[in-house]
Amino acid sequence: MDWDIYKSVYCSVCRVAGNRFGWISRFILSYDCTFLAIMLLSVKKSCINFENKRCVFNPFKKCKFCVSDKDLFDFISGVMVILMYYKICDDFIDGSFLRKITSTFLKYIIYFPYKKAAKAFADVNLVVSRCMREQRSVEKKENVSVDKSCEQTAVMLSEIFSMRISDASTALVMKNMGYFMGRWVYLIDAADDILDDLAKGNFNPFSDKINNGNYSNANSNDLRLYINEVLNHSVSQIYNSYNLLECSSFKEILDNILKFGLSNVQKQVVFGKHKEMKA
Amino acid sequence: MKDPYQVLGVSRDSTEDQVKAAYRKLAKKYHPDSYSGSPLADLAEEKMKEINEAYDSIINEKKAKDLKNGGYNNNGWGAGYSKDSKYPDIRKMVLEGRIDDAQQILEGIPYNSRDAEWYFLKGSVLYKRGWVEEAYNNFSRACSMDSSNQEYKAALLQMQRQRQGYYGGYQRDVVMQRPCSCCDICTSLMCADCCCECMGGDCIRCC
Repeated sequence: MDWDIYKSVYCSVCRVAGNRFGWISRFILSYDCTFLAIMLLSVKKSCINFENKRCVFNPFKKCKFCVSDKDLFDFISGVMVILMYYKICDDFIDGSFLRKITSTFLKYIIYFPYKKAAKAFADVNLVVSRCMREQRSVEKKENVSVDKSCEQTAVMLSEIFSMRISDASTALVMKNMGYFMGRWVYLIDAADDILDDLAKGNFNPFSDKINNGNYSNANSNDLRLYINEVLNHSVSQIYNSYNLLECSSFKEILDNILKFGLSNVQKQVVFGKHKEMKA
Repeated sequence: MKDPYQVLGVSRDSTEDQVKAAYRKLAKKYHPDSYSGSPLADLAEEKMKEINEAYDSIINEKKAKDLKNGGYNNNGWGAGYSKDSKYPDIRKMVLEGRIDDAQQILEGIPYNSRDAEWYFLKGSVLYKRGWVEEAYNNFSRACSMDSSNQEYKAALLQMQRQRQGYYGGYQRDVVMQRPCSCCDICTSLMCADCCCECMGGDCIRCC
């Protein structure tokens, strides 16, 4: 049941993205931004109707699509294209030679959809470009605290989560939720990459703890427990915000993601077996 | 005013015990301690007020004993009024939400004059900003400089409980309360992985 709903929202984002920004944008959709769509649909109490229509990729397949709140789906599609464009730009700058070639190709094919999305959602583009730029700048510095390291990604998501909410109280809560979601996402990625980053000398908010001798090595249990605590701290704040939101529909799937999804990913990333390899 | 039965999530023919149980569950969720020092404290307080009013109205209706504050004491720390404070102006700013001003004054105090209360207030300001890691470090320092202060202890304890996963996240030694079906785990994992991917990360590489 949860999966059916998730898939319907995903299919709706795919359909709208293609119509607005070209067929290419459909290829960049994996399940990206579907969580944000569900969150916003629930909070804005958009009346949800599902309709059976043909899949845009496979005309022999029928899917359920959301038919309400076109503006919201337009917004989500725009956010998705803009975020993907800047992610590809980032990959180009950071990546290996092979990755640079792939990124160049991807950047070329997403360029026109991005230009269209940036024009239609100038506010999103401004926030994402500014925050990505400042995030890169922070990562060039030394002795950066955990809080400072994830601040820009947190601010970026806090803006995206709240910018289409008209009620001031709800916007404040969504801003808070987006902030800590951004923190969690950035830090879990950092936790996942810690071994690679140490080996390559890349920036990682947790590597200072190892280099300063707080923990013996990147595989130590104490370090994993510490990282888990840092992540839990962000999750507690996400929860505080979520509890204050009046989510009409999709409450069950949101409960599942926030209560079990985040926890399970943390468990796998921080304590998972694949982490037990030599640094 | 909203329907009190709807606020508490109980039916009109619920027993007094059922109403009390529903009230306790909600009060635990929106308890002021969970939101102490948070920028969402006011909203949580409004929600708590709504729940209290709904409970009162139902219980009065059922002609039961009046529990005005629901039996809970507010032990929240929120950097509010403190009789012996050396920094009443900073505390006032924090209460009023003037975080930038409070931080500026705090930073202006020379390093060797910074006492336990300074670290506590610094922690409070950082917590309101969302810099929870440094807030925790500052509260720890305040407690180590003044181990008898209940206000600092309450703040530190709240941070510790949040970090240990009592309010969400993964607890290493605790088995999950609700048994998950494979479907739940798969859906949740994919959804959480998607949150990650959408913001530039990728936790589960194969999805």
